[in-house]
Amino acid sequence: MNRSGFWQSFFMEMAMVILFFSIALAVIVRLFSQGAILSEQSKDMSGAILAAQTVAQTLERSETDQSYTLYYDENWNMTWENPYYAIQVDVQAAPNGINVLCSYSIEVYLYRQDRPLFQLQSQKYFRQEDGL
Amino acid sequence: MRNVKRHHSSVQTFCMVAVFAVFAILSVLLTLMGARVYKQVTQSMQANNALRSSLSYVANKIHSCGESETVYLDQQDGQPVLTIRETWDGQDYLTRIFFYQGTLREYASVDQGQEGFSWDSGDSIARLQAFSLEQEGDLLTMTATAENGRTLSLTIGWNGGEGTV
Repeated sequence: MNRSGFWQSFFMEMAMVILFFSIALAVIVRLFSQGAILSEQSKDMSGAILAAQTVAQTLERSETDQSYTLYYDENWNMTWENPYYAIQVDVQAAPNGINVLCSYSIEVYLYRQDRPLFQLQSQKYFRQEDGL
Repeated sequence: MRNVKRHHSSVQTFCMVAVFAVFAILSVLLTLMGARVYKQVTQSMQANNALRSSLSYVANKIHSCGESETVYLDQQDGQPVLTIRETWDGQDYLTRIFFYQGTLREYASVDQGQEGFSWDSGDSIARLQAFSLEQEGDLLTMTATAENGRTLSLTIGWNGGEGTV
């Protein structure tokens, strides 16, 4: 093979390698970004589950029939300014004269994206004279 | 004519080397970027697992206690130790959950008072940077900090018994 033929074949080989590399790069970058997104979602979900459990446990020992919203920053510290997460607590009380069945719906969501993360239902049954 | 050919050949060589160099640089960059993303994702997942497993484990341990068991916060060398006491056939058994040297640990033993406890005993539950227990009324707040500095808390209702802090 003369010198020109060698370089032509080398050029063709490199072109094929770069083409394959480009396709692989597109797939791999997508995989990496998807992995990072899933990791972030998993982190959000863990915090959301623990925060919802905390609210449910606190509600179990409180006497409220008012719906309310709690706001949290990125590290799950309660805040009023620039919240990152929010927990909406909806309360439905069903009194029957003697007892009350309170149903709580605790929904955790990403405040800025308004994207739900986790929802927990809880109920509390007690004598009407004991609370509310 | 020979000079023109030689010039063409030099340009061709330069182009080939440049293409190969770009390919090599991109390969190295991709490898470094991939390693960095993989490391970040792995660290985040490990921290997440350590936080969730430690908090959930302790919460489930408390919730699973029956009427025959007493749960309370004890103090050992000024550090809080979550203690579950149960009695079988007249013998007291203690399960202690505590944080020592970057590890949340659990140690189950026959009740031998202070003698039956040492900080480096017990099974490892999770590697953490910090773990604290705080009782406020009938609520117990557990706060765990992962090795990457991320902190999560879980509050559970309980009827902490004798010896509470």
